[in-house]
Amino acid sequence: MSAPAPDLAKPPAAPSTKKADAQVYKLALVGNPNTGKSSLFNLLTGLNQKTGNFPGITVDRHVGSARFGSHKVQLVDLPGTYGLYPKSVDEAVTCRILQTPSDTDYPDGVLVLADATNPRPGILLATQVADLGFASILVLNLSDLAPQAAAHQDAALAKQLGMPVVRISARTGAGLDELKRHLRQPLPLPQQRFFRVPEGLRGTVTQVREAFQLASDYAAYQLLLTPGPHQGQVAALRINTGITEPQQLIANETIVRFDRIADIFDSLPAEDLDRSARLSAAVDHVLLHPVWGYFCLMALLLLVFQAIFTWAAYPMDWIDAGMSQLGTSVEATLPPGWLRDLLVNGVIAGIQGIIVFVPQIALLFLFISIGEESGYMSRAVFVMDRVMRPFGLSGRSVVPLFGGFACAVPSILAVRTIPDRRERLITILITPLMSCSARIPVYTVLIAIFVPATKVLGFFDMRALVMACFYLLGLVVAMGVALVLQQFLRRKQEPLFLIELPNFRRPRWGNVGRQVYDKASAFVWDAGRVILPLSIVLWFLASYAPGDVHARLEAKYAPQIAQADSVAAAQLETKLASRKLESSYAGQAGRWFEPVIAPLGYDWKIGIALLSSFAAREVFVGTMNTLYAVGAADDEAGYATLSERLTQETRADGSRLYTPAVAVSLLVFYALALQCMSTVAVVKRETGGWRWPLVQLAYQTGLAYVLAMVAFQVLR
Amino acid sequence: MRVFPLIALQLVLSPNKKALLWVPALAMVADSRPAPTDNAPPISAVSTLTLADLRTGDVVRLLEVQSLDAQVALLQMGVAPGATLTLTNRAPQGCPVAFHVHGTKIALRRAVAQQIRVERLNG
Repeated sequence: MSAPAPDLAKPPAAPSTKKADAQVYKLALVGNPNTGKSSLFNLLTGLNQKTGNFPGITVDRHVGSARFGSHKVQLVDLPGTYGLYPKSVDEAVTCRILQTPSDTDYPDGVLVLADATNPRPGILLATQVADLGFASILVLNLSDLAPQAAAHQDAALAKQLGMPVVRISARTGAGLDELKRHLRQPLPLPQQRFFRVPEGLRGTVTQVREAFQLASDYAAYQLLLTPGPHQGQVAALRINTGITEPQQLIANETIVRFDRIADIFDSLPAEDLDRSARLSAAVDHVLLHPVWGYFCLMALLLLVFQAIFTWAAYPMDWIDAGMSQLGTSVEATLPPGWLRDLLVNGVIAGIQGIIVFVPQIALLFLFISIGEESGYMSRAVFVMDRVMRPFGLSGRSVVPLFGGFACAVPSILAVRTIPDRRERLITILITPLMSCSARIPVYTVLIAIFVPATKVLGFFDMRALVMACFYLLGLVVAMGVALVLQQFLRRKQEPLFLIELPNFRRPRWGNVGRQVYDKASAFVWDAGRVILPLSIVLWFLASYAPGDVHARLEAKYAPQIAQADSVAAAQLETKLASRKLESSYAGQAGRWFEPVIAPLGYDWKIGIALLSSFAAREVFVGTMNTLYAVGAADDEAGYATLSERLTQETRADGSRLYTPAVAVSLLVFYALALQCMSTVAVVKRETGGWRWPLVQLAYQTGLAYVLAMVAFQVLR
Repeated sequence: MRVFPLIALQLVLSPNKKALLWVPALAMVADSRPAPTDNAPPISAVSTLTLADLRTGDVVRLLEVQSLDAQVALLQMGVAPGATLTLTNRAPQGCPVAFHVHGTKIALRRAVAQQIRVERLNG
């Protein structure tokens, strides 16, 4: 057999790097989803942890350090998985790390976490970890919810599994001390093997093991069946060995494991429905009801919306007021000049534009995270599956799509939990059509121009209702696009839809807090990196002109201003400022762009805002603020709200510029266009190339342009 | 369930009490439509009860999972032939269905449920 010998030239990397930090014991936390892995990780590491990504992939990597007695341990939290044959991108990370001795996260020991109320999947996972040869320990969490009788089986379980078994409750803290005692020294090597590679495949498995320098035959067997990134190198071996149906071999292997531990499974106490399970069943009777299920979901979504509008408004007002105050005091302390202008109109305005989003993002992720923690999210998946199916999607797309209402960037990262490639792609392509929180300020400013702030039926705000219409526009267009994409993207076979509906639990607030903090700070630093430099560049472009144009303008106006009385002088200064802006770099770019956007009813100032928002749509409001703050020399006018100023804006012929038609056209454009560099970057990363982000950019911009034009031409 | 966007639209456009009555009404209309897959002929002459044929509350023993992907997924979740399943919830038109097994609850679509052979335990 002419086996390819990839990576043979590579020196054996593992031993040398291991020696370097020999005193740090690397422990990996592995477990099924919904077993409280994050809670245990937080309990063991406390605040000594940091969040990042696994190299080359945007799966969250939580690493922490802890000291048990004199034993220094580095703990890495691997993504939750049901078995070591991956079905999603997240699971693939866990499998790859446990297979690859040269990986930086390759552990010295593995802590397998299982759910004490449903231990079977966790025990199966533990046998796989043992077969990989890892020193390991099985931890049964949620002991407070499991039947008391089960605890008596632990000694027998430990003997059968050939590894220590500890029963804990991350909620009450029971058993934690015993777990920590086990972690004071390196974990013991596994005493049992559960699965032998089939006789006929031994030769091939040895070849794979040597070629990739794996630690065990079982790791080589896994790689042979699910090659992942090594598909090309392993494919020939698979064909030569006659493996046509790896899924059948995986099923056979799992059945062997079942047989080996049948005694354990038989001795597990009958699933006497515990209190939380009975409560869940009762609640599910309503939440999964064919009629009331939809009703509850809709009611919850409306509640979330209302909360984001009303609750987030207070901290946003404080941020606005605080930053304006800061601007005023900087203006009062510093002498007039370019530095003061840069600080007030460039830097402070830019920072304000970023952190003003934090309350909304935090609130939305608070809801999403509570939904995930409590177990409701998978109910929403269940309820929505039938609704999403005609669009080539499944209930799984609901979480990313709903998350898209907060921010497309983390939502597109959440798409990786969808196993089917086509479904993943469609969800990625339509998620940015959901009205994200960055659109809220744009919507707010523009809607305030033409909709009065009246109450409908004494409860609904008229402006909120109009805004809901634009949320709906995004949703309807997204579903239409999904229908079209479904025709273009063929799929090999119907993907498997199989989800677990865990028992309802009280959310663990530490985990909720951590997720809210992670997402909000990721937004501030990631979006901020784009927005802040842009607003400084914009300030420069709007404040400076080529050559001595501005100097000549000032020379022309100065004598008139000096002679006029105070009222006339103020008017003249406004006029000077507006002339300066028109002749600035920004003004020239906007005017060059004007013919393109004239059919949509926009003037050159809107053109500047549009050009700048192609990097980040929230820049629109900042740009408008900068543009009109620069245009209005008077301090009081400078801090008047943007909407009021926009209604005062006129065209050259004196007619109102921001008519309802223009405002609606702009709203349609901002609802549909892909104006977010971060989204483009994430889509490129997730789809592995420039093809799909470019397709997405083109179709969304085209759709936005055409529909905005239609809106303006119909309404004017 | 293509009516769903219409329901949302209805809610937004006329947010009065009548709209709230529309939601369950429309959902029930959608619910009462016959499932398109019901007309498919039985796969074999052997008496085959599948997960898709059950009503909520039925208790059954798992005999065989004919779809390989579903078989692997269920095995990895600790569910093997011989396990006792209780059908707990059915979405409109029986898709998806949810069942209780070994202290957890699993949901899957009708197409997969039709490939899961079971036998009755509660008469």
